Order: sequence, then C-alpha cells, then structure tokens
Amino acid sequence: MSRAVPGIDDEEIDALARLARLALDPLETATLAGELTEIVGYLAAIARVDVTGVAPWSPPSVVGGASSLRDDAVIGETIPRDEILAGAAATADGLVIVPRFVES
Amino acid sequence: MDVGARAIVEQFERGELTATAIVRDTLDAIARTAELAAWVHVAEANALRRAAAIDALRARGGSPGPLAAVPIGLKDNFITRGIPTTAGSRILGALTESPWVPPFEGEHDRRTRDAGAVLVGKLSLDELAMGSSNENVPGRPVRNPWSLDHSPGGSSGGAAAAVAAGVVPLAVASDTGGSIRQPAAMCGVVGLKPTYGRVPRAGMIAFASSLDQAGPIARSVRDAALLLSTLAGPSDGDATCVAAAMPNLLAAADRPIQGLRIGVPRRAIDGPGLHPEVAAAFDAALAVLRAHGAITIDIELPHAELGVATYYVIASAEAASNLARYDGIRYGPRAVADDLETTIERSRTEGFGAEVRRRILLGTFVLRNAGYDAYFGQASRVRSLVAADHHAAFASCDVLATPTAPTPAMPLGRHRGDPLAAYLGDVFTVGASLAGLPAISVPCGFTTAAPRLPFGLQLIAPPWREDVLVAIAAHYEAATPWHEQRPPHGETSRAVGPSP
Repeated sequence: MSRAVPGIDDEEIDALARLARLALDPLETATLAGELTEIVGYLAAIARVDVTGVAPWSPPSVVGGASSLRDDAVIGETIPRDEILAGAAATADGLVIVPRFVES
Repeated sequence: MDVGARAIVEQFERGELTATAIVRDTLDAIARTAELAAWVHVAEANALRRAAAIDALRARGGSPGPLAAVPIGLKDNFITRGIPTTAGSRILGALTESPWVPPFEGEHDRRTRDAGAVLVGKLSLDELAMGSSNENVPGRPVRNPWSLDHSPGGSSGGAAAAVAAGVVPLAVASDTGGSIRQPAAMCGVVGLKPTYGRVPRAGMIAFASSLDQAGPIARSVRDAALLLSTLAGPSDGDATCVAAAMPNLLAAADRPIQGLRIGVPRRAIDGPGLHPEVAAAFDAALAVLRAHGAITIDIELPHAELGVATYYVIASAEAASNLARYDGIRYGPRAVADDLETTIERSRTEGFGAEVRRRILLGTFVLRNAGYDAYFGQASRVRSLVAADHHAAFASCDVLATPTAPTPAMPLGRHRGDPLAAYLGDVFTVGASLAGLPAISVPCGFTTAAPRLPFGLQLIAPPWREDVLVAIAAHYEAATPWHEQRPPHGETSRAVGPSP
C-alpha cells in the first residue's frame, strides 16, 4: 500500500477540532496544521508495510486465553449520589445543571 | 531519608523507627527538595493519620504487611479517594481552588495501603501522562535532581525525581510508551513496566488503554520487585488483567544468570540519534553481564524502525477516544457559555494543554473515516508484526537488551516547538509497549562531562517473565556502582534520628 501524504491545512484542522469538541484560535490552528503535517508525514511510514493476512494485535492476556469476563453485576460499594455530584460544576436537587440544549 | 524500602520495613519491624517518625521525615524531605517540583499534592494529614494507625497496629502486636511503614508516592494519574487527583490537567482542576477529588478508591492505592505503605502525596507528570519530559504541565516543570536545568524525563518525571532524590524509596508510576522506564533512566533509578495485564488499570486514569500499564519506580531492583509483587494480580475492574502465575520476584533476584542469553538488536540500536556515551555505557553493561556468565547474541527486530510511528497512531487514537469523557459537565471545571455545545468546547479547550490538544487532533485524524484503514487499521496490524519480531527473537534468547533512551536527560525547553523530535526519543521503549512485554530500566552509567547525567540499560522479557528481568537486573546492579550514586539535589545520606 502506498499513498501520497497530504498536507493538513487549516480547514482540515478546523474539521478535526469540531469532531473533537475543541475550539482553537487561528494561531493555534495554523501551528497545528504545520505540526500535524510533519507528524502525519512521519507516521505514514507504516503504510509501506505489507500486512496481508496479519490480524490486529491482541494482548498476551487475551492470546493466552487467561482473560475472562466476570458476571455483569455491580461490584464493590455504591457511591452515594452527593459524593458523585460533588465533582460537578453546577448541581441542584441531586441533578447536574447544564445550559439549555433543547429549543423551547 | 535515603534508605531503601526493605531497610525501612526491617527498621520498623525491629522497633528502631516508628511509622510516624518515618513519615514526618519524609514530609520534611518533600519540603527540603521543593525546588524539584516533583509533587503536585502532599497528603500530609492522610499520611500522619495512616502512620499513627500503623504504629497502633504494631503496638497491638499486629503486622502491617510487606511494605510496613514505607512512605510511597503515587503518580497523579492514580485515583486516590478523598485526595486530589488531577493527572496534571486543568480538565481535572489542576492548579485551581477545587481540584477533582475522587469519590471512589483506586486499586493501586488500596493494594499499597493494604501492604502497609503510607501514601505521602501525588507526583507530577506530563499532562494525562502524555510526554517524555514532564514539561507538559500547567504549573512548574519537574527538575532533574542530577541537574536542575535538565528534564527528569517523562511522563513519570515527578516519580523518578522524588525517588532519585531519596525523598521516597518507592513510587507507583504508569508506562504507556516508556513513561516508567525513560524517566527512571534519566534520573538514575530503577523502573519496571510489567507485562500488559499483570497489574490492573482500574484506578488509573486512562490514556491509551491497550498500552497503559502501572509499575514501580525504586532505587533498587529488589525494592521494585517488592512493589510489583504488591501491585500485581487480577481485578474485577479490569478484564485484561489476569491471574497469570507470578514467580517470587525477590527469590528471582538471587537466581544465577549463568548461561542466560541476552539478545541485542544491534541494527535497531545503532543510529545517528544514539548518544556516543550512551552507546559506550550500553556496550560496557553487556560486557559486565557476559563476565557474570550471560551470553550476548545479535538478533534482529525487522520492524523496530516503525515502532514510534505505530505507537503514535495507536496511542493518539486511544487517547482521543478516552479523553472524549471530559466535558466539564459531570466533573472538573466548566467554562461559562450560553449553550451546551459551546460550554463543552470551551471547557475542553481551556482544560487540555497544547500537547494533549495536539494528540486529540492526531487521534481524531487517524480514526476518522478517511484515515481509519490507512492509519489506525494499518498500525494495529503493524503492531502485530512488531510483537511477532519480539516473539521470534525470544526463540533464541531469554531477554532483549537496549539502551533505555538514546540520549541522557535533555535541557529543559529543548523540544519546545518540535513535538516530533520529542516523540523520536521513545524509540527504544515503544517496542515492549506495543508488544505488551515486561521491561525494566536499571542505571548503567553517567555522562563524563558536567553536569553528570545518568543512563539506563533496558531489558525486555517474554510475557509474564518479570522474574528473568529481576534476576539479570539484580546481578547487574550488584556488579556495578551506578545505583549507589546520589544526585546533588537530593537527600544525600541523611540519617533519621531515633524515634521519639
């Protein structure tokens, strides 16, 4: 497999940022376009390897057959709701408060 | 105090030191070495309470466990219930008034505590464990105790610096592409990345789940073995962590190494990026091992040169996926905006640092439709070839040996603005990570010119054979003076006074 490595331009960085829920300023967008072009150019070296018939990697614990799934049940203690919510930026009456996201 | 973990346990058990005296001295040592910026949180109240409980248990005739009264640090990507845990990221409130405090217990914290260790604090890291210099931090970068102008390596730079400086004898760290081994090498201490699946990931903040593995940093091979024995074993919280047979690692340290075959991937090691003094120290280390009865043979790792590229595709993809959970909504600081989408975008953008944002975008690039087969799919298969290279090599040798890193520690700021150059420093450590193999770094020499900076020898073993690593590394350690060297910016052989 061989393919030309495309440069990554500002527009593509913007598209990736939208997918990743990041809001980049124009300066960072331009910087990242240059850096990712260089990095992806380096990563493209893997494309020249013939992987016909090669399966994706599995860890030794899976290959050895030792891994097994436990019962699908609650394990350990249950954490009280208030302790969970203590980490959230805005809560009320046992709920997480967020800005309105459904049109009224 | 500049004493190993096993010595502390012995002194405590003989009644020569109380846990409280040990912990008080450790807290003082943290303050004395503050210039290293190794700690992001000191858990003083927790440590003193815990020490008092251990002393009370001993007074009642109880035995606190194999790590009795040993002060320990956890890298800050390990969950500690009731104690701030930010993984060095603003997304979890690092450097804010309200860092995230986990409402649940982490497996590594629990296991070390159950063994009698005392958690004294959380150690600095590159943000979310992404980096090789501990400079990707919201606050002060960690400094190398051998030279304050140099990086300690990363991402477990705080752990390596605190152990090298003699502040704590043990730290629990994490290794995704070399983050235990490389900083251990650059700070002159021992770092052991176990087989993938040996130690649970439950309780460790996820970076790249198919690569992440927890393990010890220590000043001696035997102390590292002792901590790994405590951490290992299956967990209901991690289906990839299994009940593989664990040999007695401390007994393994006394095993002869006569006749053990050490494979040297010469072609993969030699290159323009290899520092000449690292090369010389590595060859000298092999000569020491030969003098103790080991046999060195040349082996090939045909896909080694693709390791870094393969690693950065997979690690970035898994990071982009794992980090999708951070949205500023359920935990962590939240940016203020009028609508939910903008709230999430701003929280993530302000919460993640530049290197993390870069890797999220890279991971998104290799995972999206247009790039998936060519990058992520391809890398997953090249990874199998990298693993197969290692397994083929183990047909003719018991372990592989390489330098841990191609250079000694870098001056702070060296790789600023050049992320690819920083990634290339992982060239010798990513292979074992990709193949899920256990690997250890042990000190093997120093630069001759000032500042004196340490190097590491890396040994890689087949899956579940940490015992072979410990056997060879312990012999090498006993035959060489490197582990006895103490850095200028640390606790140099301070003695602890008699317990009150």
